[in-house]
Amino acid sequence: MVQSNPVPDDADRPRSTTELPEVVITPHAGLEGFTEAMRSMTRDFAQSRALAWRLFRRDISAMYRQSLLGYLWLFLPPLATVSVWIFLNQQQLVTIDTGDVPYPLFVMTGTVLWTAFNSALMAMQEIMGQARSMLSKVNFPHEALIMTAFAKALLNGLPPILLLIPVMIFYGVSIGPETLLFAFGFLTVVILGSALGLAFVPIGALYDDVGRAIQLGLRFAFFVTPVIYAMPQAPGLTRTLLTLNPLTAPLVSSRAWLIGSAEALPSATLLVFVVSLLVLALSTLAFKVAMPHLIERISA
Amino acid sequence: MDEVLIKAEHVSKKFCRSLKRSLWYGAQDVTRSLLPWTRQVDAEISADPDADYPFPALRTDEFWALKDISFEVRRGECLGLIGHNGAGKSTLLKILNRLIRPDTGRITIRGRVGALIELSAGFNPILSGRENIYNRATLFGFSKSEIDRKFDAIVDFAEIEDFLDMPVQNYSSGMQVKLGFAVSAQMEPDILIVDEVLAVGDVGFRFKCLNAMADLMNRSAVIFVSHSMPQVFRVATQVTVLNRGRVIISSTDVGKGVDHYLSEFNISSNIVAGSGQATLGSFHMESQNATANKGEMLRVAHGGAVTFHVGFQVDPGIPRIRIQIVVWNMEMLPVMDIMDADRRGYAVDVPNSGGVKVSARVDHIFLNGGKYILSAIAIAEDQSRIYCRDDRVGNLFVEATAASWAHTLVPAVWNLDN
Repeated sequence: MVQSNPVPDDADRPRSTTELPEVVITPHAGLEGFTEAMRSMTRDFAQSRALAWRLFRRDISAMYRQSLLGYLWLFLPPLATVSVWIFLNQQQLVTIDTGDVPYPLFVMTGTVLWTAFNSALMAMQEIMGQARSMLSKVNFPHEALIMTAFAKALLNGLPPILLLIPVMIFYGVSIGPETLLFAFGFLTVVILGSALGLAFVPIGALYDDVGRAIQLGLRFAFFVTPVIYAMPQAPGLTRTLLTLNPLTAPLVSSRAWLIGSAEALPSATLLVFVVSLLVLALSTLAFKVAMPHLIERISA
Repeated sequence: MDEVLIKAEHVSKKFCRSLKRSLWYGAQDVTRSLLPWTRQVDAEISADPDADYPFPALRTDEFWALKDISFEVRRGECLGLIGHNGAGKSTLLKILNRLIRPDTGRITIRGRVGALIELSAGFNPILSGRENIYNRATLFGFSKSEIDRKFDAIVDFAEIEDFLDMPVQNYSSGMQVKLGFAVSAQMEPDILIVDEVLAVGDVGFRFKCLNAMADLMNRSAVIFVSHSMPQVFRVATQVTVLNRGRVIISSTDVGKGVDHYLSEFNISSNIVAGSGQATLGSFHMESQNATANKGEMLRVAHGGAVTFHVGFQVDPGIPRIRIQIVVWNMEMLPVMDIMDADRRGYAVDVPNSGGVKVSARVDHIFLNGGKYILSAIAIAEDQSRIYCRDDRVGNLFVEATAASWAHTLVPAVWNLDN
């Protein structure tokens, strides 16, 4: 019988014990769990990056393979939202004051940013559901899933920006150095969404309630964020609520930097950026530490 | 080579029977794992005087899926892990594969771990075979250049050249498993974890898998889980028998371990089936120099003679019955049917008392070495119904050592013809 030998010759070379990486599997052990997670994240970085890229391409190419409109779906949802609000505003059903900025441009920018936030949050939330079978069967660097989700969030957030370009040209918005700041604001929005989404993943993997509550919360959040209306200048309940909302600063600032809608809030945005980044890093670590416990419960 | 690559000490794992509680304990464990100042083992150490290792207490509805498991495996060795369903084998593999953490103890692992456990993990059904090869291999830690280098070997091994660009969902289940195995077989692990995945694909592919595994095994320390005793015999250098999470026996004498497992197996398979119009009365059997009664094991040399004595008590109104004896292997496949000269059960008249006693002499038992289960069967004369099938009449142990997987070993008279 012909047998193909799958192992290349160099595998015959005996490796001595000292060369071999040693791993000790123990019960979860407090601080050690975190240092161990950090060590393996550093060690496996190359692998997890390659894997993340692979998973990203897998998901993207599979996402639209069973579809006629294909990548058009990246543009349709924000277009739909925008049309609704433009319609409502034009028909005077809802009157929104946006100062000197034309309403379509205003609401479109807001929607683009909200979509980015929303899809970042949802991409993180979907991690466990999508990778469930993989997680309970194969051992791989789990942080790759987070990288994939982040990349997917960026991908879902970027195409709507392309929609903005013709609209900006139409309204004669000039592009200046502040446009670069928009990129920073946009990134802050995505990082904030990812951090919020990821922070609730460990507990959401156990209880469905978390996912449902987040869905509900997002609907509410849409209206307590200045997406389709401008930040009111007069103090009041609305303004207080909006100020407490961490999404307000990066969203308002990004819009200001792109189309000059209102005053930007640069320091608040920077604060949100730093805190979100920190929360995202800690949540990644927590995700990794909690994962064996989650796998045990979801596959049981 | 005597480097210890896997060393497990006092490994235990608890599971929970109730889903609601399991999730709640999970939430507690997750919370605790995220508080850097807690240690799990120190908490709630049980006061069990029999425990010589600190075991945490069980919470309501919890049980030990594994308790106090210790072993060592060196490079070139293979630990055969056997036990019934639910004995804890898969749990142990999951811990070794670092999918879940143990609740006590530690396992020290040196080198790269490869697992032949789940052969279809990481496949996306919509994507083509080509894309899935790259995805799965990356999942197992191969770099792009490594995959490029091994791609042809994988495709060749999986025998899917013609279907490379077809979506995997259109593959037959056998093809999917082939593809999965082909990718996994490219690993160069120091430690290989193998679950019973080999009984897949067609016969030719199975042999290919076994050969590829043999190559991997020579180079690594292997943990091998199987229900197939011939396979365990073939590959294992030591066995550990698990039952309800405990080690029942751990031995470098593979035969002893397997025997122990099989004797456990016996107890759980006492079955009497049939219409009940006949019941087994007596049973007795003898070989050249041994005898065994009902429920006992008879040892017989390969090729030796055995005489079976069977008695049935038959309900009134049944004038004639047929009696036969079926021999099953440990995988509960029938390997021999003891019949009359017409290849039917032996037909006898039932006397008024209802008691029927017969004997059957088999001149040569040519079964391969190992343990077999006997059933005595009484059927209607026209073979239309089974009155009684008693699966606990006894066991046969054939003494033979041969490197063969066949059910029978026939010593023939061979001659040179030219």
